[in-house]
Amino acid sequence: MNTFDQPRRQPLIALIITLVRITRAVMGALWPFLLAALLGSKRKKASYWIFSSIAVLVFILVRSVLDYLNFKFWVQNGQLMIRRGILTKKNISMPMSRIQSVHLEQTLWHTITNAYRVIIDTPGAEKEEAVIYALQRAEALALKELILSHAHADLVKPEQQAAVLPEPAKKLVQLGLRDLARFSITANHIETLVLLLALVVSFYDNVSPVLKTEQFRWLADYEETIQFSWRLFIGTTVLLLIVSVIASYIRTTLRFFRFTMTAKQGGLNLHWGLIEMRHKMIPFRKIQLVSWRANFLRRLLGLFQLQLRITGEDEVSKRQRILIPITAATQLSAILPYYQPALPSDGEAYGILPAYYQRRTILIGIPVTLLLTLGLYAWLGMYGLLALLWLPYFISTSFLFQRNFSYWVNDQAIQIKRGVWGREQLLLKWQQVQFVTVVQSIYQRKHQLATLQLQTAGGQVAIPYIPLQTARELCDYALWKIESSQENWM
Amino acid sequence: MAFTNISIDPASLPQSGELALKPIHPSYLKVLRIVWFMLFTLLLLVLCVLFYFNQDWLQLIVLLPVISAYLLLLVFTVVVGTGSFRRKAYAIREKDIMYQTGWIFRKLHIVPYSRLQHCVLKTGPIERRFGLASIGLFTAASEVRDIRLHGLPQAEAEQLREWILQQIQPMQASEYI
Repeated sequence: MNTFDQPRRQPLIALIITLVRITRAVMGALWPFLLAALLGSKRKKASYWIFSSIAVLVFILVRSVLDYLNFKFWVQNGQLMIRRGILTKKNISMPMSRIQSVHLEQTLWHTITNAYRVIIDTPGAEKEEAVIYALQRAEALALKELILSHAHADLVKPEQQAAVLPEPAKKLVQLGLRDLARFSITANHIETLVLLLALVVSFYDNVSPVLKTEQFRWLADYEETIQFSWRLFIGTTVLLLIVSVIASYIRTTLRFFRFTMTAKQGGLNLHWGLIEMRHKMIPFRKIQLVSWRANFLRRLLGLFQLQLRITGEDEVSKRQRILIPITAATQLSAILPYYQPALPSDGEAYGILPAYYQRRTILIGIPVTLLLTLGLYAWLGMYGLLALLWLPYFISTSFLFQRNFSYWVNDQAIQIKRGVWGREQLLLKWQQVQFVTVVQSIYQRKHQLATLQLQTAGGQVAIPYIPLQTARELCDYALWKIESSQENWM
Repeated sequence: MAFTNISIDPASLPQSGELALKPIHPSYLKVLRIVWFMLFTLLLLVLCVLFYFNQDWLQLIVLLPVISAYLLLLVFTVVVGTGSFRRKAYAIREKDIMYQTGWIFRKLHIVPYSRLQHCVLKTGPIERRFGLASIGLFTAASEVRDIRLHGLPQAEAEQLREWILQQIQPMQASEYI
């Protein structure tokens, strides 16, 4: 069996793959300049194009060869070692037991040459670092087998699985039409309105050339007869509000129609869909952080939106987030014990210091208000002074945030409640913490204060403006819980 | 195992605040200065080229703000960068590694070995000239993926990497239930 114990280069096919990859990267960077040169008013001579093309080709060739020659990989002491880089040398050391999976992919070039691109997947790997660009099929399979034989085993060993009795599925959430209606009426209609306006503007951009034709001349004539009036303004606003409420209902229904959540052994099962049924299974051990939030209206009606933040969740893409509508407090009480049985909020609550809103006012509120007022005054004259009203609004929201911020701790987890008009709560088990950061600004250092950040695989949890001593105690406790435990975090 | 919930006195826990941190190598400041020099020279060249091809920009009303912004950025980078360099320090403990960075906003990162996924030893061309290297520590944290320890002597960086990998390795045997 190939043990890959000697540093080795990739096969020659990797040179061609690297050539293609770098060509695509260079073209991706240069195309605006190419386009500008082609469409520019001053035509370039043929010699300009010849020399430029040769220069680019030489760069690509030299870069590809150097990249290929400087890339080596091998396995040593249970670690996958990769050495790469031309000017900046990188030595990557990956314990194979940390590797979650190994993916073998093929582009057209790989298929033709019977090779594979090997992608190593760990929770902490950057996309481009853990890639071997080309290996012959036999070698790729051998490397994959070698890595996976060392890799992360299942939590429950096979001999233990037989002892665990299957439990019946327990239904936790089931949404009817009435629940959807309540949820949609309390949605963020401003967000829906902005989306609608964006859609209308985008649609208008596409059809505006048609609207300028002779057939639609009457539209331009009609526009000139409309005069601004407060009645028109209020009427339009009310109409937009009604439209956004209807649109919110449609959005919510499409998103959560026939939504059910059941707990089965090992995880939560989500089903939903109007035309096409969708299904998602979330293993309990993948849940890193749990949060539930309610805007002002939803708080009054006892509605929440629960978010389960799992490992590797894409924070940028909202579509991929696991959001669950909660229409009764009993549903929340039924779900949370699967993550953390004993809630810290049963104990004593702690808060953050008033310095939080005071510093925000001085560093953000006042400068932004001044800039805004000056800008609007220059543009609108005396009406621009209305921007000064933003300062009391900013101070009041910062004050409310500070006053409403609470946190609780117990030996298993930390829980945070925060919000201005609405409320959000976060629940984090100490075991899910990846590392801890204590942040201090100049002001905080002078006054023995700090901001504590707990980094997890599902996002960051921060407690701002607490006494430095408290931050250190929480930091030391979190580290002790992680480092003294044998429990796997995932 | 019977469930217990014994009260823990915070004073009895290992204290992160009391540890003396080791500053990074003083030669790293030279690396930073060379990088700043190259960056700002390049920026100056770009500005000169822009002004050369746009002669009508050569007026006081344009030159003054551009030169002021350039000088302000230069001074800010050097002052804050030097202040930040003087405060970069690290410490190795039995179960974790600590790294302090930043001046205006000082950050102390503490990364337990049990949460490390892998590490990367990096040497740039300027760093190599001074015999220095940097280590990147990668965890599964989604917002701050890695912590980079800059300005370590090459030999020390390699020893540190080996030490870290040794700490990660034995944990796999007992880590999983």
